[in-house]
Amino acid sequence: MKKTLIIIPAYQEESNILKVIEDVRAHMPAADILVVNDGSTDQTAALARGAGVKVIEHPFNMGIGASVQTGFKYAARYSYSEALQLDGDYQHPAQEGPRLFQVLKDRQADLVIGSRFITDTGYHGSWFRRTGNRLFQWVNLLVVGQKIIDNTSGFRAYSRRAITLLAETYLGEFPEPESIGYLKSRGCTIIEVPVQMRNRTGGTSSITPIRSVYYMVRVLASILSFKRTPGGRP
Amino acid sequence: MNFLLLKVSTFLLSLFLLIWIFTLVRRRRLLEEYSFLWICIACIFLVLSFFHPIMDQVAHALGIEYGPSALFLFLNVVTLFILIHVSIQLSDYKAHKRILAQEIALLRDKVEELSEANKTQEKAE
Repeated sequence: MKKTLIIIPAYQEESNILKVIEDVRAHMPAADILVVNDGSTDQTAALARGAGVKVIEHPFNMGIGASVQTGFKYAARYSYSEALQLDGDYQHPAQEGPRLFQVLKDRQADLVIGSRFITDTGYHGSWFRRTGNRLFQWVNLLVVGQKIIDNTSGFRAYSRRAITLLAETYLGEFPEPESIGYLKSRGCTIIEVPVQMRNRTGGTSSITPIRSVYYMVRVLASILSFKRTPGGRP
Repeated sequence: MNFLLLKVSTFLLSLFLLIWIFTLVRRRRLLEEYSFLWICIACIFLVLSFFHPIMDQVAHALGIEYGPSALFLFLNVVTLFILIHVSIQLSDYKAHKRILAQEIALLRDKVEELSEANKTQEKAE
């Protein structure tokens, strides 16, 4: 039987986590839900447990890369055949999940990215964000050999093969662009699908001009670090 | 200038560094594998404090006019390499720490699941 896992990395998301779980259940009732609580000190884990989903808790905060990797490890160990990664901040619409899985199946892909920029979906972001993304597109084209339009999107579906590969690879602070390079280098098929994201509810974007330069340099470094053997460092 | 005072003070400083390193190793505050580098550096200082013309000769050979400049250059390069080395080790530790923490998280889940299953089984019996 086909087993599907929804991986929700969450850090301090007590105000959103229940909405996200409800959203996923409404649109993908057959899937198992895994919340990876990355050392939150608020009610994130308790609320998710209360809602009856599986919660794996990091003993301390380790960042998004470690959180999604824990999800892949769980999926690999319990033999899930496909997985969907979805942010815990209610930005990603679960109703698009089945469509990502459909593309995964129909086109025999290993990674299907829900992309904000592929067509005019109403999302523009700041000038810095757009410029940064354009830069990543070029670097991806050079390094990876495929044009990826929204390589920072964390709304994605993974095949069993991608799950196995990523469970054993060290992904840093920017797991999204990093995993694209890595999967591509392993001969995986990557496809982007346009997705209409929700606007952020509460909180402001942490990306300021100075930070975005810092962010861009680090993401570029992580794109360049893709050629690794499974297992990564140590 | 009082060269003797300079000689004596640099010698004492180098000696202090060497003794300190040995003490750290003896008390196991510093692992032996990391001590080698520091012992080497302390020994170089010790030699230079007595035979500082060596410094001038090396500097001259490198085309550096002022001896101490060569020393500073040498120290800066060494420090740079040590820092990169420390960064590499820190990265290793971080990666290892992550693997351990993830394993703990996954095992804790498994333990909770098993003890839950155990409880229901006991109740059934």
